Amino acid sequence: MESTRATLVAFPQAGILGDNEEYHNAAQAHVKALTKLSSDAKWASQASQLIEQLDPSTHSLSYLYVLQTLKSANSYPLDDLLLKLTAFFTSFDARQIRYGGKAFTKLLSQPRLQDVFPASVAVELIATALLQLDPTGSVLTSHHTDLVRFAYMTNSVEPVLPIIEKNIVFYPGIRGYTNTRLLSDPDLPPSGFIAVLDHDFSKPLDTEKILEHDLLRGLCFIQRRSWQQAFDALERVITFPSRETNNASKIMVEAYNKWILVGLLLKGKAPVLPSITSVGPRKIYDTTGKPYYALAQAFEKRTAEAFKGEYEGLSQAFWDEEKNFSLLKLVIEHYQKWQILNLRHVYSKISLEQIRTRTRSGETAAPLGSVQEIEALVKGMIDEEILQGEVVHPENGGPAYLAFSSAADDLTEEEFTRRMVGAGQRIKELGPVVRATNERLASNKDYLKWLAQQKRQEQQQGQSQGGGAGEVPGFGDVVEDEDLMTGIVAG
Amino acid sequence: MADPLLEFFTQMDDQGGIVVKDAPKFDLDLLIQNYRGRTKFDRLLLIGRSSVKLCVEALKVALAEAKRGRDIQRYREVVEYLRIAAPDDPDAVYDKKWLEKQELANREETQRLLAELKGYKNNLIKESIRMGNEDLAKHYEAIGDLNAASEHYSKMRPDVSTAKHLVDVGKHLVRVAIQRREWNMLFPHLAKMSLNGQYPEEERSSQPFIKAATGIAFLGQDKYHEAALAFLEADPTVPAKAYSDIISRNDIAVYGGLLALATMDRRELQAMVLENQSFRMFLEPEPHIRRAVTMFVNGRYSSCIEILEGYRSDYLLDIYLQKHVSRIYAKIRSKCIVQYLIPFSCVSLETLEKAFGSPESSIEDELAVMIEEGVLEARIDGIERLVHTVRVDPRAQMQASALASAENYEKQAVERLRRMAIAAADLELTPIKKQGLHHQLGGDLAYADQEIVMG
Repeated sequence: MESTRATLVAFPQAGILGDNEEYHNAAQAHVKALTKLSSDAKWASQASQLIEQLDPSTHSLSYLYVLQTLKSANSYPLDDLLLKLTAFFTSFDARQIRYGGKAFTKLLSQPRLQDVFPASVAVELIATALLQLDPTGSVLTSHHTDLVRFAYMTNSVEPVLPIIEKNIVFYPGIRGYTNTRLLSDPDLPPSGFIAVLDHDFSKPLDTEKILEHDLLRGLCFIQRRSWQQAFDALERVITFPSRETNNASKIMVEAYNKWILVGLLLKGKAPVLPSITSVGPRKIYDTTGKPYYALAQAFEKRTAEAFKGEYEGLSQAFWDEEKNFSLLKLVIEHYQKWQILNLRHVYSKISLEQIRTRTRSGETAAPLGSVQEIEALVKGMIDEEILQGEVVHPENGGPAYLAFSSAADDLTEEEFTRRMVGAGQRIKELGPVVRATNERLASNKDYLKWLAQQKRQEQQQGQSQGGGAGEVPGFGDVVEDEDLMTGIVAG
Repeated sequence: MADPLLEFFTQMDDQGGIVVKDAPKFDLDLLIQNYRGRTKFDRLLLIGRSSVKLCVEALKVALAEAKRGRDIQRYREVVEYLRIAAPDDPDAVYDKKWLEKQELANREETQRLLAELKGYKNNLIKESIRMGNEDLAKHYEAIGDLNAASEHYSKMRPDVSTAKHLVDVGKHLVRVAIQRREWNMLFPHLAKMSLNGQYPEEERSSQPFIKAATGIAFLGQDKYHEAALAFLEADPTVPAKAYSDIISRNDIAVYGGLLALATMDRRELQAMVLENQSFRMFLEPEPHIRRAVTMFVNGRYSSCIEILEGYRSDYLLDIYLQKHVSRIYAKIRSKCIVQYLIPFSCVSLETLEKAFGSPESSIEDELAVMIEEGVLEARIDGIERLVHTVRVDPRAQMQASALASAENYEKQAVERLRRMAIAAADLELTPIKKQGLHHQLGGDLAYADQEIVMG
């Protein structure tokens, strides 16, 4: 037992940091030792005592192995296990854990934490662990996809927010990638040890999983009514790069429909498909998304009858099938709200009675029945902070009116500075990501091939422009791009 | 008599035509004297089809005009109209004898000219070929075959030898294109008429024709500002005969004045219309246009609108203006309101109602529409019944655009990085052979329709 303990605390050696290579070798040796120890018969019985003698932040690797043994043994009290897991996940040394990818994955998935603890606890634990491993949150792993899916299905969206609010820019698995840096390099970006081929930290992911992940993120945000974030997440799905020229993924189609509805809630008008949308999906959206697009256009046009006609023209069965009924209900509810909101561009003050006659309910396509209903609606909007203004009841007994606050659209100097600095900071933070991308690409065979090709072409062009007498420069290109006949006639 | 007329205008209305009920201020005979050539008939027919008061009179003059010409299709058309509008009129019957005679004569003339042209071509004399083409094209134009006319006018171009010839070809082609309403085609024709300052005499005499045609072309494409500039530049010293086959002097004044009013601010109007010595000569026979512009420049907007409203039905009977009158008037009206509001930070709705009010719609609704469309920067105070004008704050604008571009930059950068990563990991959506969409949704996953909670 004592010798085991000695082995466990042997790495990292206290006080001696060593250079990267030394650290690398030591870490690898330690993992080997740990693997050997954990296969020992006595190991499981000693684990509960051993763990008390380890500090999760200094001896993270050892702690991880012991903890995994405890967890899989099923005999350790759950409350204690939760304490230990929390301690570990909030404080482990990510540099050490880079070497323990397999064990880390096991800790999360064998058995799954979701099966051991209540849903919200499990979600929070995993989210903490993933962020501790990769504070930038820029690398997608199979843990992410599983987690978000589970969180959405069990309705525990809140604890997963820190994870889904991050922008994913790296995906595991890259063709022809050879790691040129040691895992121990303190400057190694998270993508350098998570998103590599040996799949220690993640199972391989396919396109479907990635699309589904962003769709689920969108759905989580929809549940939270964070329309902007939901809109961005769904936009990632619908603009997913595609080499397909005639087709799209079902998931993308699904996301497109929701994206339009969320766009209406967010902006009050039909969103415009981003220019980066690929050709194939764009074609498909045109046909499959027709009912939604027509609805969005009617929403903009402000003839309540047309709007009502659009959504009523589609049967209940259609909406049931589409599973967008809750969203649709919100859109209908927001129809009148957006009309009132648009009045702020025209009026500074407007009586509630005028609002009543000038706006129509999306549900009945008629003005609301009484000023009281309008007042309730407007007050609701003010409470939700959609609308900046106040309802005034004049003392002289005149009709009640809504006064839009005039400074609502203008930023204060401080607010502007704060947001500008924020944006600048976020752009600066992209620096390491750009460097990491560059590094990853630099060792990619395909990319190098492409670079070489590019260079050769440049050289060839330089030569032909120099005046090769017998050759027509770019002749092949011309014929390929244009109508054959005109090309030849003109030539 | 009322009944057939009513029926006639119901038909015109159904066909999407504009029907003008009020009597115009002009005299038909005097008006039509300003023009020559085929445009005379076109204008008469338009007045006949649109004006309730002048219908029969205009159609009868048109009929006489058609009979003086050689275009039998026109004759048929106007008789057809007349038969509906005034069935009892002695003119409302086909002159079969004339028709047959004219048709035969036209055919023979075509054959004769074609044979002549063939002869010229065999002789290889350029000038003869040019003239042969010109004669043939003029004949085609006279009998209403505009397509063939345009073709043969174009064939004159290779054989031109003097500057005058070149200008003539251009004029012919422009005239035909205007008759065919091909506004796009006008620009290349007009561009080829420019002589680059080498022949000042020819250039001077064709200047108003080119300017007027340019203006008409821009007007046809709804580019009012460009059209106004073209009309304002026309040279008044050239006799009207040089362009009366497309437009009259009075028309240039009206078009130029109205379009300038619709698109220019007060300073521009002062400098480019009222102080424009050459355009003043055009304005002389149309003093009310000058008055309207003066009123606008002097800030008497309601008088300006009043004057123009008085001439609305005249302009609705103009061949080129008809379609645009309501839009031009609306533009002038909203400009008047905007200009009216400029010196004030706050105006009561009553004052505005007095100045611009019309019985049809309340000024408040009109203002609301203008603000929504972005024509007017103002906010209505529906309680105090006031209109506050909004001053644009350039600092706030700059800040907003700076923020937007920073945020956009960030978003794009992330998106690009992500796309590179997807491409590098070979995760793009790739084509599949089988039918149907990719990736059916997982069966256990009920995407959405969960209750949406409060955030």
